[in-house]
Amino acid sequence: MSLDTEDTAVGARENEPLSVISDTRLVPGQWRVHLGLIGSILLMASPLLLAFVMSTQTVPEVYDITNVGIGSDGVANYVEVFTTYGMASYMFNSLVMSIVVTVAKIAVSLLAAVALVFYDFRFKNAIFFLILFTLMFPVPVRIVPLYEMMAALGWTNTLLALTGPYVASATAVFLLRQHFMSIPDSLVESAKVDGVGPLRFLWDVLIPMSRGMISGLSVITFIYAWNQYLWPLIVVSDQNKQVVQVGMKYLQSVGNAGQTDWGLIMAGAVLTLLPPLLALVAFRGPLLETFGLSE
Amino acid sequence: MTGITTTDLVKRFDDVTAVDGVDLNVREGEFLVLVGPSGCGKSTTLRLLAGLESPTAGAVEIADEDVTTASPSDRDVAMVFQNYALYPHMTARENMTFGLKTATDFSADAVDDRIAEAAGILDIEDLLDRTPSALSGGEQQRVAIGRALVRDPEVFLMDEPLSNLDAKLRVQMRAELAELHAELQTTTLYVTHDQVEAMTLGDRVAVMYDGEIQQIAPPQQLYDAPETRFVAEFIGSPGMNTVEGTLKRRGDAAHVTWGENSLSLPSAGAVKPYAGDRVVLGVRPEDLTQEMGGPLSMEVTVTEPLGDSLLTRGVVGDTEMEVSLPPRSAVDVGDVLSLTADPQRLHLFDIETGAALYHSAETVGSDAAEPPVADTQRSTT
Repeated sequence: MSLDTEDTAVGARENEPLSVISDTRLVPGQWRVHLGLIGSILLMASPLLLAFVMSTQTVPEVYDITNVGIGSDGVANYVEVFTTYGMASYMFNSLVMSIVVTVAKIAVSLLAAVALVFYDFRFKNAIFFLILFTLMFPVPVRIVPLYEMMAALGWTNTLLALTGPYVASATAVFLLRQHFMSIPDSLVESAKVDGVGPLRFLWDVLIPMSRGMISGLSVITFIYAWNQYLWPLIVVSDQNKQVVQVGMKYLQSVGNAGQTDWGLIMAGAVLTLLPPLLALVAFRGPLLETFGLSE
Repeated sequence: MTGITTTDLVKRFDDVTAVDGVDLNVREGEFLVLVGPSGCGKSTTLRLLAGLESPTAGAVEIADEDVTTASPSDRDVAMVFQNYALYPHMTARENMTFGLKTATDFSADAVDDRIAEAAGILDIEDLLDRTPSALSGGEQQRVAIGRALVRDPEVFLMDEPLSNLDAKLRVQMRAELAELHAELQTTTLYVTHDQVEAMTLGDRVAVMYDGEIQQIAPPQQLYDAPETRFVAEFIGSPGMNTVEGTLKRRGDAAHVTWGENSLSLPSAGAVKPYAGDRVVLGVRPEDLTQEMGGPLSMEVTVTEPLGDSLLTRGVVGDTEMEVSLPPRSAVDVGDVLSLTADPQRLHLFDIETGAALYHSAETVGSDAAEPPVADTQRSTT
């Protein structure tokens, strides 16, 4: 290893072996491994790369399959989906839906997990297993009865209908419950002896101690909500209240003489990808912690 | 005024009786240690006092007030836990103030004063702005004790507070706790499984076994005149040797025999059991000495040099016993030692109930009220 690496790593001696390895860009004699890795990354990224390339092309360029360079439309497709085809409002609707679902789901799951871990009541385990059982009935399976219910409530075409079915989450309750169970009993008992009430304990102790878990769950929930397609398609009929995934579908009907304008669609797709990507990048630390993958 | 009184306290978990009729009376300002092996119900007793468990039967009084059904926060107790129970995301100062703000109605200035005072007593002024992860085990325990101190409670409840510390630190903290109590004089109930901790810290020590209190007495009396076979075997390191034998009388003399071995008991008139009764003889390892032609013969199986003594384990008759010999004694495994016991330091226990029947010592503890002891004194003078 170079002298340079040794100098900079003096402060963090216990991490030295790891940092030395990661500082090394290419180990001579392992070029086959690197080639394989680069190849597989390209393969996995190819749909994204193609989508990006197509989003800059004109319709004839897209249909010319040998043309894989940056097209001549530039950012014109992006401007067009935003201004002409209402992408901005779809994205705003999706953002509202995702944030409402995330906040409500975390809040409900926190309360449920607190009840399941820190309170004693009859049939506690049975109730927990009942909650886990709902994992077998995701929204798409319940779509018909759910729609009937929303119609009966008069909620169709509203934010309530859009977000309501996603608020209760067995996964989030399960993860938070497991996390709370790892908190020592003596912390709870100490709070009891001091007369700290349950809500204050939740706010001042449990939530700060679960910050990583909560951020991780929020990212997953946000992306999950952002990517919903079927339920919004059914329950929302006004185009201006629609979310981005369904809005993409509307883009497909645009086009001249039976030729779908793939450049436009791909520009929409790339835009749709951005918010979840940003969320992932911003919260990758807590996300890894949630699944116990962080170092 | 009393510190803590429990009356016939019982706690059952399903079919397990953890605490079985405990009558405890901790005087105001007293440091009482509750000691016993794991699973004896000592921690459950403490939790019943704190209000973290509710009793199946019986009553709890703290500072002359019946708190049997009161919630933990209404009992004016502060608890120190074995694993410190510090909130990991708060600094030492925040840990100390968090409960304080709920449990008491001190003004912000008063809170600051109390924190400063407690930090001064415990020597943790420099650590107040650190989180628990930046503190060593001993420092964390100091903060936990500080958190209890600032509350200025009627009673301290301590649940094995030193068990997670390493041996050297434990001895140091033990001395500091004793000092702290001497300074504050707050009624303290301290639970531990470590009998050395119990003996060194307690004004009085309550030995608990199987959900029942075996004996409550000052440490020296516990050692000198154990009331049950369990206390005899539990207190002391190592504990008392107990051996089942037959009581024999010849004229005025009484002695206990097992196998080829026999020990005579002084002041036979004080010995209650009849000739031919099966009894349990108790003698401490440190009261046995090597003597040519002594009445006991031990075949050595293990030797443990402790530095200040040579702890030797072996078989006497068919019973395993331990003897504490002077250091550097020339003893090897397989040797047969001739031993004798200090006649003033013998004890007899009932073979069925384990209750003490006789202590040969002339003077026992401060309140020598037990009839056998009084008898002993009369017959020897």
